[in-house]
Amino acid sequence: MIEWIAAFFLIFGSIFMLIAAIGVVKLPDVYMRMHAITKAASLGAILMLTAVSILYVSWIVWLEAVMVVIFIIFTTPVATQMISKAAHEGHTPKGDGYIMDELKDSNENEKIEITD
Amino acid sequence: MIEITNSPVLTVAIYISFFSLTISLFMGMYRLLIGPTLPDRMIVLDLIASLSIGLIITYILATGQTIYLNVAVAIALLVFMGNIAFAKFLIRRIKK
Amino acid sequence: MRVLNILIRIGRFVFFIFYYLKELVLSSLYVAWDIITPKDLFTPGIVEVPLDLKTDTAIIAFANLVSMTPGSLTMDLSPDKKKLYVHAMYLTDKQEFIDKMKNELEERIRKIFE
Repeated sequence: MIEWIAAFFLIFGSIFMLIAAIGVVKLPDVYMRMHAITKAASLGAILMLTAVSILYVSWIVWLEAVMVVIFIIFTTPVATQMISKAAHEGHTPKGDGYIMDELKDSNENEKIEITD
Repeated sequence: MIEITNSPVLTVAIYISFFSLTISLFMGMYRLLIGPTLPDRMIVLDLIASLSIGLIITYILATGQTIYLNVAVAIALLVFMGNIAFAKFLIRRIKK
Repeated sequence: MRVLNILIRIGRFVFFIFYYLKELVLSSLYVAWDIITPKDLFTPGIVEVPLDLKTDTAIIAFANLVSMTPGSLTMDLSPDKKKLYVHAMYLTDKQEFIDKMKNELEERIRKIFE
């Protein structure tokens, strides 16, 4: 019974990662590709770690799995935000159909200082 | 080479997982090669980190060696640092 | 009294983690559905959301939570910490989007962290 649950989580996790990769190939510009990576790839990793935690019952496995999950869910949005900020500063071309870009307007009005 | 565990259900799941993760790696490699700008390539780095965490976990399930979870912890930490350093480098290069 | 205060904070933080995971699952399903169904009708945009939060912890929790809600992604914070720039995948009405952000997410963050 427990193998069925672990296999279910493993297959779903790898399918979410496959969907993230399809999104990286298919979506039109950098910012939308980041939508796919931030959400689908994180959920894929979390589901696969759940499969390991179900199958191996020991506290050190659970501790390490929880550590990896916490790293992933708290660091991925920060890294994505830094990359998208850098991409927007570098005038990376956007796809079609953009309705508004208020960040660009504010950059033209006031000079933003970037400190290290 | 790999000792698959006894349960047939889990064996099939491990094969499916290895297959789809490998396909995903090739897709990421495609975007890495043709990606028009540098940020495109940087986000593929993030994707490949998640995929290698997935590959390590599938390997753990295939062999039963849970010691490899340490590698997943290290990858999850190092890739965050790598992304932040890349973004800082990109911003500094733009400012010049 | 002091111990009770700390316990309440820990309880709220655990509750916040579970809420965060729920949002992550929902938005992953949403993005996955958008990727696997073939359509080309995206109406993206970058919106300026005014912030009312005071502390840095609350602001970073709000920024991460915005990245984990369906169809939105934090891009930048203005230098005076008053505005957050959010990239939205399906933008129909700007005011409606801002109202949703402020009423649902920011209220919850303020109850937990301030």
